[in-house]
Amino acid sequence: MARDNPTKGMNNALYKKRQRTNAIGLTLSMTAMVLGLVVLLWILFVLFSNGFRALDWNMFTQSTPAPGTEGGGLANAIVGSLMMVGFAVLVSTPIGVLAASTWPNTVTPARPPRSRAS
Amino acid sequence: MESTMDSQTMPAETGNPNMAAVARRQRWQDIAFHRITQSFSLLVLIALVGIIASLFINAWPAFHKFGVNFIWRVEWDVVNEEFGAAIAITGTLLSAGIAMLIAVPLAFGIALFLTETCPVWLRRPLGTAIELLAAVPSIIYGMFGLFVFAPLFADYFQMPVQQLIGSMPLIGWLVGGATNGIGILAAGIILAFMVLPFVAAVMRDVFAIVPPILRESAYGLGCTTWEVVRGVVLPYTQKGVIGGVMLGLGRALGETMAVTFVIGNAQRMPSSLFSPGTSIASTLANEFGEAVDFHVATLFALAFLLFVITFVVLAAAKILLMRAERAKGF
Repeated sequence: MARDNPTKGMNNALYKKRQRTNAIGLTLSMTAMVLGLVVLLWILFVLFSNGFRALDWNMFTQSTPAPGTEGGGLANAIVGSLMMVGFAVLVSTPIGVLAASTWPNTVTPARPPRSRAS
Repeated sequence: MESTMDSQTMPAETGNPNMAAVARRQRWQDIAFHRITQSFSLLVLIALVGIIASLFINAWPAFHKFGVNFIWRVEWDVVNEEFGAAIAITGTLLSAGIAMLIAVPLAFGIALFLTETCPVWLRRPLGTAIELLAAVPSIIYGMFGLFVFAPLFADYFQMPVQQLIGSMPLIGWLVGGATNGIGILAAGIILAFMVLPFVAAVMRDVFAIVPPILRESAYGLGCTTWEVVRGVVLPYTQKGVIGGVMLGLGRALGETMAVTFVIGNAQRMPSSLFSPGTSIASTLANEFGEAVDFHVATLFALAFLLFVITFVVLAAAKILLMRAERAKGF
């Protein structure tokens, strides 16, 4: 008994230490997760709480007025964004799809004709 | 691919003349398709090379005048046309470095939580929530940083910290300067939360490729979750994790709008973590509109340097991630 106890105590201490490290590590990881979520919710909250007040029908139907003028909206900016994104997709989709189909390990249609020609 | 091979080998066996014509037509279609796709992927490459070349050509007057010294000259005097990139490069590297110091441990924690401790039914929603951080446009991070974060940061972090350690010998200078909430450190913190989702997503994905048998063996030996992650998961996914970090770093280096809002935009060498500075990207965003003649050339030179830095970082990240993918096989 007397001989057993010190080793047992040591093992226990080691076990406790490992448990503690584990608990600290997992707590920190959970804190990181919570922090990430808090930042996301914070940004969303700021956006919605400030944004909804300014939201009305004119926002979508009227253009931005000269500085200092009342009223107006963001129709020009919204249309501009949509047009820009639309054209970007129109131009980039064919280029992207065709370029990607020659890259290795996506599609390999190029081999048969070439091997036949040689 | 299988079907074209079949149709091409078939005529010899069946002797049908129609089939031979079909095969020939298909071969031509294949060649045409091959050429078209090849030219489009060359187009992508040409666009990349074209961007580098045009940056360099436009930057040539600046490089010609200052030589390589342009990189470490501490000077940005538009009136006397004395320019150097050191201030902007310092700001870029410092803000990105701070961002990585904050984002990497957080991303590791999130990835660990999502792959090890999170209840399975919560993994998808929480993972999606973190990915949503990446969907927030950078201009919103900028506005949020300037109007919401900076005032709080000044009142509840900068002032107390400056009072606490501002007068200490060795580290006091770090927190000197005006406590108005914007500056290098604020930019670093905003950047950290911008790159966090990217780093966390890569880390989570590479953690998930660890073969269950390795993980379970470690658990079977009595390892705690923390020991499994430190001793099995991290060593196994080392390259992928570093690749993810580099990916985040590449984004942090090139980020423009959010940084421009909160970094302070001062063409001075930052003297403390709180002092305003400028990054390459924010200098470009601020000054391109009103630059003329030689000033334009120096901005192009800055852009060229930024491109080189981010290109090297992203290339390194790609290589490491590819190696991690290959390691998946064993």
